[in-house]
Amino acid sequence: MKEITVNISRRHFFEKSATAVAGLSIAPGVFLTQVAQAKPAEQAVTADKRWGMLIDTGKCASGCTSCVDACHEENGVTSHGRPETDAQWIRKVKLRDKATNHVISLPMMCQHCETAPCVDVCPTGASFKRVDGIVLVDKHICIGCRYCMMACPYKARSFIHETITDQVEYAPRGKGTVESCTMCVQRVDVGGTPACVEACNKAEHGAMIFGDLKDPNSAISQELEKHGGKQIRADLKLNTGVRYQGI
Amino acid sequence: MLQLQQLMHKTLIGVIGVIALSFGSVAMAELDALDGVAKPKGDKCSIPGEESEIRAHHFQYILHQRDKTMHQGVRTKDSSLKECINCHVPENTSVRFGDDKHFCSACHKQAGVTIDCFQCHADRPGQIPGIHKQAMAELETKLNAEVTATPGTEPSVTGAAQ
Ligand code: HEC
Ligand code: HEC
Ligand code: HEC
Repeated sequence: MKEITVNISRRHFFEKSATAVAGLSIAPGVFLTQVAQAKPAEQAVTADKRWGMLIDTGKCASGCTSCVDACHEENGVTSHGRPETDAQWIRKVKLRDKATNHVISLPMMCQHCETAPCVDVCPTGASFKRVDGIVLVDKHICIGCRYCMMACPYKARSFIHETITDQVEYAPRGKGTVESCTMCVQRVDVGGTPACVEACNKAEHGAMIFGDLKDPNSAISQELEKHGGKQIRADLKLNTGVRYQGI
Repeated sequence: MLQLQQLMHKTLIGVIGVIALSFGSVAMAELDALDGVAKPKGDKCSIPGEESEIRAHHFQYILHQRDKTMHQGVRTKDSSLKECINCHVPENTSVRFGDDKHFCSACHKQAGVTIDCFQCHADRPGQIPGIHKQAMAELETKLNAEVTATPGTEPSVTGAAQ
């Protein structure tokens, strides 16, 4: 895979108090957590931010599913006992390099593309990208056609086949619509961190950093600047919001 | 001829009377519909206006809010569907959407309104998993700590993994 670093010039630099240092593990078990800044509830999200994630596959433990479990608990994504059709917002993937037999483990989910194929193909406008970069499904207008699922190079989306009950109050889900990782908007909009990232830190792996790609002082931007981060299928030029190291 | 006209007049008045009567009974029926439905927890609706106005316009507020939350991340509470449920439906109730005693079913059944909202949305409060409660509690502590921190000082190392 070709090395692609985030295009720094594309980032919009703006003055901001340089207090944020997020998710960097400084010693095993000790993490600096991002100084959270809550957005006032009445304020709309802005294009001054672009939320992203950086995943260090070198720290991602093979066999560990903390991120998957946390995501699914947070969002009330439960199994109907049919793995082929059960919804999956995030999954663990193992990659083996055929030449060296080196195996790496990584979480795969919606890559929150800047030019998202799912958005391009959606006939109703249900697939959309928020101005802060988070790609979502507006289930109120989703007709369940599943074009987006076919367009997504990352197989990140699921269709709900069953009637669902006992949904989590902030994560409505229902039969006949498509869904995927929301970067935990319900948390991000109030200054929080996505459940997967939080769980990875609590499991003391610290393989995931969440933050604002447009803020040059954010931990994610600093780490990207220092060590870079690749896009999966960079050849598609989707400018993903989720980046990986060690692939 | 005159007699006929008078007759028609009377019939017309009669018909109007019947229509008025049936309007009255619809209004009554709507109030009846909420008999036995749990009372809201707060004492004032977050939707402005008299009860009759709330009844006539509540859906415009929630539908407007729906788009603002979904597309702009606006998370105010006043017209939020989650908050309607939090105030109008008791915790730990066995009453579900579709039952006559559910706040959002009661009138709709009588008025012949069908809504699909609760195919996806939680129809009672408190459906919050532990992981979210804990995260929100931790976030609150963090935000409070930030507010009380002396301006100009370096942030301390917080959130050592548990
Ligand atoms: C197919 C599933 C689905 C259906 C049906 C549905 N919603 Fe939603 N709704 C969602 C999702 C997903 C969200 C986004 C949740 C978030 O980001 O907080 C949402 C968010 C909302 C919000 C903002 C959050 C809140 O609680 O205030 C409102 C208001 C809302 N919907 C109203 C409605 C109304 C009214 C109906 C029925 C006319 C309805 N929805 C039907 C899935 C659905
Ligand atoms: C804090 C509690 C609270 C919240 C939140 C709330 N309500 Fe109300 N609601 C009330 C009360 C109390 C009344 C009785 C009328 C009044 O005094 O305002 C009422 C009345 C109503 C009525 C009229 C009932 C009748 O007798 O005709 C409707 C319809 C209604 N609410 C819908 C909603 C919807 C929809 C929402 C969400 C946007 C909502 N309410 C949010 C407390 C609340
Ligand atoms: C006091 C009676 C009453 C209560 C209680 C009530 N509604 Fe309604 N609702 C109505 C009536 C009457 C209409 C139809 C109004 C019209 O079409 O002009 C309606 C219409 C709606 C619509 C629009 C339906 C459509 O197809 O256009 C939605 C959405 C809705 N209500 C949501 C709710 C929710 C959610 C609750 C519970 C929080 C609720 N309502 C509680 C009386 C009520």
